Amino acid sequence: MPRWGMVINLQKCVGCYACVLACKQEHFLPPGIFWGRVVVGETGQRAAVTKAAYPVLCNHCEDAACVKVCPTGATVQREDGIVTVDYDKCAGCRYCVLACPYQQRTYYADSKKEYFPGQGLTPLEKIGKELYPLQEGSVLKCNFCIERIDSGLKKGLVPGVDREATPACVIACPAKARYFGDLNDANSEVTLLIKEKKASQFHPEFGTDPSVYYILR
Amino acid sequence: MAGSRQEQLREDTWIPTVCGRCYGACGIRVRRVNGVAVKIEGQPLSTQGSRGGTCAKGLSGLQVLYDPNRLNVPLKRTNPEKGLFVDPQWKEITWDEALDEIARKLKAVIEKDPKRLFYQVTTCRAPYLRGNTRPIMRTLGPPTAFVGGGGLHCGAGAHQIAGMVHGSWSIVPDFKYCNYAIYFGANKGGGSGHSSGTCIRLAAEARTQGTKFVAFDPMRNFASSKATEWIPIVPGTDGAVILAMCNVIVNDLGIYDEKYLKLKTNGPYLVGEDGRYVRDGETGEPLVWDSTAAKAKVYDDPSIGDFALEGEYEIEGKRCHPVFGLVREHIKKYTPEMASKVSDVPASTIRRIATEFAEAASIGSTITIDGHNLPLRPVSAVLFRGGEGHENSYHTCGAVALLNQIVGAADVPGGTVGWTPQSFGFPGTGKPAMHIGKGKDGMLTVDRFGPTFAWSGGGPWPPKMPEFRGDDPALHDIFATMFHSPFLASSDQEEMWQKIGLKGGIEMMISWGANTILSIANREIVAETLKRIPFIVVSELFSTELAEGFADILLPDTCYLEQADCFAGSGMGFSLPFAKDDWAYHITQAVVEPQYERRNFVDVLWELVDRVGKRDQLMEVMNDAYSLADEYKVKPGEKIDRLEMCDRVVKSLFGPEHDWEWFKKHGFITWPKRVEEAYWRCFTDCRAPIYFEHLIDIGEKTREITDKLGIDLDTAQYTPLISWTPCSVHHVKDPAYDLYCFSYRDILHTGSHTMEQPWLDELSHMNPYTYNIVMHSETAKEKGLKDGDLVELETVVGRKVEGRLKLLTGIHQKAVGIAACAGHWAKGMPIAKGKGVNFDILLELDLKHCDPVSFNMETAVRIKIRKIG
Repeated sequence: MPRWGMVINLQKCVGCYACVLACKQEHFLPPGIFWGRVVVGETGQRAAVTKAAYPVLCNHCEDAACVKVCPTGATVQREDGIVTVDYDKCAGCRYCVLACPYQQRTYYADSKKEYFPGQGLTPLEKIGKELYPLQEGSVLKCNFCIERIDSGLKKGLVPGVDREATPACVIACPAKARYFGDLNDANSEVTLLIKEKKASQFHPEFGTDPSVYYILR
Repeated sequence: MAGSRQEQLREDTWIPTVCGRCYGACGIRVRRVNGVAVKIEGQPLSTQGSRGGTCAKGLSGLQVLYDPNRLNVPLKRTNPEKGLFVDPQWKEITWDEALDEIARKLKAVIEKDPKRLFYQVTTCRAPYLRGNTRPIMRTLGPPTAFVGGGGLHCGAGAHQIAGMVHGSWSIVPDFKYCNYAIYFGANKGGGSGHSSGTCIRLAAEARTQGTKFVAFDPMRNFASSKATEWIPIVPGTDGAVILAMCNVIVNDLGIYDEKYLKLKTNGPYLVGEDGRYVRDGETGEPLVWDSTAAKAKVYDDPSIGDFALEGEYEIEGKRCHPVFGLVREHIKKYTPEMASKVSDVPASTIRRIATEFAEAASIGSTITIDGHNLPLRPVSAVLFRGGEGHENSYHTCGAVALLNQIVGAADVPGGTVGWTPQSFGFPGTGKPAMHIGKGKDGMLTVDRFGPTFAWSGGGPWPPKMPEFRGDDPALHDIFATMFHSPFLASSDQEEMWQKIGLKGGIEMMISWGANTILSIANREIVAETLKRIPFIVVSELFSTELAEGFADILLPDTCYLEQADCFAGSGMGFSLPFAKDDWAYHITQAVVEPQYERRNFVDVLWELVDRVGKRDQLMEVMNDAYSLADEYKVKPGEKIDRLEMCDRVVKSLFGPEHDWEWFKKHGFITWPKRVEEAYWRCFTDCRAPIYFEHLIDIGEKTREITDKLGIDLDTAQYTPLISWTPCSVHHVKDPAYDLYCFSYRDILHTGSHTMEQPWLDELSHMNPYTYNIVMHSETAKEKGLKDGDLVELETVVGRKVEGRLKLLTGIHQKAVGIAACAGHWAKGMPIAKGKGVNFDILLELDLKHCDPVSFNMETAVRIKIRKIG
C-alpha cells in the first residue's frame, strides 16, 4: 500500500502563491478558506537575513492528531495515509482545529459569503457549489486532491508522474518546487529526494510524522 | 465525503490559449464546464511559460472574467466637469452612438494632424500592442503614442541598450549554462516581468544546479530573496558599483576577453581628440590599428593581423587611441572606495564580487553544443527597473553591457542573452524571420527589432539624430534618444509646448487598458495634462480612475479569456523562448464568448479605421507588417474579418496545414531552435558598443536645439565614455529627508488591474508586505516607530502618502519600500479601492526628473517619515 507524500523544494519556491490559488480553484473554496497557504517572514539577521516563504498544507500525518480527537469519526485516515473529513459525519465541534499542531484546519462558518460582497455569486462560484459541494458547519482542509489520485489510479495513471493524477498545487507550481509520490516506494522521486537532499518535516517535535517534507534552501 | 458530481457535466473541455495577466504571455489551458471557465493551468508542452505551471496572477484570471464590476455597455460622461474624484455621471449609450461620435472626432483630428491624437495602451495589452495596434496606428498617422504606466516606468535605458548590444528588448542570464549571475534591481525568475513563467522555471533549475546569484537591491524580496547573496544598495547608484567592478576586473586583475573585444565590439576603433572615431578618408569607415602591420586600417579589412586595443597612435598628424584604452583609463576613477561611498556597498564586497565574476567567466573556455564549438562564459550581469529607473538610466544600462562585454559574456552560452533576435523561421516557410546584421560602423542591426512583426522600423541602431520640427507634442523630434515621452503627462508640459511653439495640444486621446492617472507620477500633475485633452475615449474592463475622472466615452472591452487573436506575446526579442529553449508560437482564443455588449477593442479599432475610410490602407500595412505570403495578401477592396486575417497570418507563417482551426485545437506550435539562432553572436559579423560615440553628435545637436528654444537641458550625460552621474535624490541636503523611497514589483501584482481580483486581495492580505509600507526595523526603532503604526511619507516638495508600517531587516537601512501600483480610489473597482499605497503620488514628472538621454523618469524619492496614528 502506498503512503502518499509531498516534497517541497524551498530552494526552488519563489513564494508566488500559485499553489494556494490552484487549490482554491480545484476545490472551489469560498472566501477566507485556504487549504494551502504561504507563510512569509524573515530568518537570520543583518546581511545574512533571508526572506522565508514556506508553503504549508495539511501534512497528512502518519500519527494524525486530528484523527485521534474527532468524536464522530468524520476525520479518518485512509490506508494510503490521506486524512479525510466526511462532512456528513462532521459535527463542527472543531476539536480537530485545536488539535492540529500545524493549524491546517478551518471551520466553514458561512456558506453565503460572496467573493464580490453584496454583488451575488459569480457564475464560477455558482458552478463550484454544484461541482464541489462543501458543507457549512463542517471543518475543511487539504485532502491531497484525493479525487485526482483516485480517478487517476483507476485510469492506470501514477500520482506524481501523470499530471491528471497529481495534486493541483504540484502541477501549478511554476518553479516546479513540489513533488508528489509514494513514500513507501524506495525508488519514488519523493523518497529519493528526501534521501539525497536531506529533506525534513516541519516541527518533527510535534511527533505526528508528517507526509510533507521540505528541502531547505 | 464530498466529490465531483460527474453526472452533472454536460460539457467538460480544455481550451489552449495564453495568459494575459502580464506581458509574459505564458501558454495556458483553461477548463470549461457547462459553459463556465473553472480552472486555469499552465501549458505543459510549451517552452513559453513554466511548462505546466502558472503564477497566482495568471490563475486569478477567472475572477477578471467573472467580475460583476466589469463594464458591459458603452458609457458616456454627462458631467462636463473632469478631474480627480469627479463623478462622471455615466449614461448608457449604444455602440452605434459611441462609434459615430468617436469616428467623427477621429477623422477630424487625423485629417488635421495625427500627432494631435494621443494613443495610449497598457503593457498588459502588449500581445496585441505589437501585432494589432502598431499597424492600426501606422494607418492612422501615426499618432502620438505612449505605453500607459508601463511606459514611463519601463526600460527607457534598458531597452535601448539591450537593442544596441543584444539586438533584443531586454536581457536575461542564459540560466542553463550560467554559473554566476549578478542582478542589479532585476527580478528575472522572481515571478514578474518579461517571460515571467519561463524565467521562474529556468532560474529555479539553475539554483538547484548550483548557479550563484548575487543581487544588488535595496530590498531582499522576490529574486533578491532567492539570491545566494543579497547586497543592499542605495537606489540609483548601481552604475557606480558596476563601473567599479569593471575597473577592478580590467585594471586590478587585468582580466578581459581580448578576442571578444577585438572582434565583437568597437573596442579597437581609433578615437581622436574630439572623441569621435577616426575615419578612413575614402570610405568614411572607422579605423583600427593593425599592430601586426603597424598601420591603420578600416575595422573590417580582412588583412588585419591583430587589433590594437590600447596605445597612442598618430594618423595624418592627429593623435588617437583605441576605444578600449580610453575606457580602461576612464574607469580608473570608479574605485571601489568611490563607489562604496555613494552606494553603501563595502569596497571589499565590490572587489570580491568583481573578482568572483571575472574568474567565473573562465575566459578562453569553450563548449560544444549540437556540434558547434562555442565560447563558454558562464557569467551574467542583468539589470532592470530597480537599477535603471533613475536619472542615469542610459549610462547605468551601458555599464552593465560593459561589464558583460569585457568578459565576452554576451549572447554566448552561459552569458547574458537577449530574447532570441535571430530566427530562420519555421522549417518549410522560413517565417517568422528576424536577422541580426551588420549596420553603420559595423554595429549590429536587427531588421525587426523587438516584436516579431509590425514594429514601425528597424532596430535602435543607428540612433536617429535630433531634427527640430516643433510639431511633436511628445518632443521626440528634439530628443532623439528619448524612449517614452514624459511630456505627455508632465508638470512642464505647457511650458515645453510654448517653448517649441506648438499651437494647441493633444485634441483626442484613445486609451486602451492604461490607467495613467494612477500609474505614472503624482496624480495632480497628470490630472492637469488630462484636463487639457478635450475628448478622451477609454476602452477598459472596469471604470477606472482614468475613466471616471477624465473619459468622455468609456467602452466595454473583452478580457483575454474572451478574445481571439493570432498574436500572443510580443514575439522574438521580447517574450518568445530565449537561449536554447525551443521556439514556440501561441495563439489567443476565447474560452467563453464575450458577454453583454463587450467588444474586443481590436475589432473596435478595425471598425473605426473602416469608418474613417482607411480600410484598404490598413490591409496594405498589415500585408507588409505580417510579411504575408503573396497568396494570403489582402487585395485592395477585399473585405475580410479579423479571424480571417488570423487564419491567413498563421497559414503564412506555418503553412496551409496549420490554419486557424489547427491552432484553435492545438493552441501553439513549437520547433527546434538552432544553435546559430540561440547563440547568434558566434555566427554573426557585427559589433556592439562599449563606447557611445553616437552620443557626441546627438548631444551637440540636441544642445544646439534646446539652447535656441530656451530649454534648460543638462547634456553632460551625452558623453561617449560610460559613466555614473548622481541623481536628484542623491543631492537632497535637508537631513530631515533622510530616507530613499522606492516601489517594487510584488509577485501578486502586475500594473494596477490585479488589485481588483478578490483572490489576489486575499493573498495580498496574507503577505505581510504587499499592502504595507516597509522599512528596516532598526531605522524604525531610532525613529520611535513600530510595526503597524500608521505613517505618513512626505517628499521634499510636500507630496504625501500614508500607510501601515511593516518592519523587516531585509531592506537597506535608509530605504522605504512600497509594493506594486496600489491605492485605487475608483468606484468602479470596489475590491481594489483603498488597498495598499499609491507610491506614484510621490513622484515628480518633468524634464529635471528624467535621465536627459533616455528620459527615463526618476522613480526613487527622498522622504521623511512620521507617525500619524
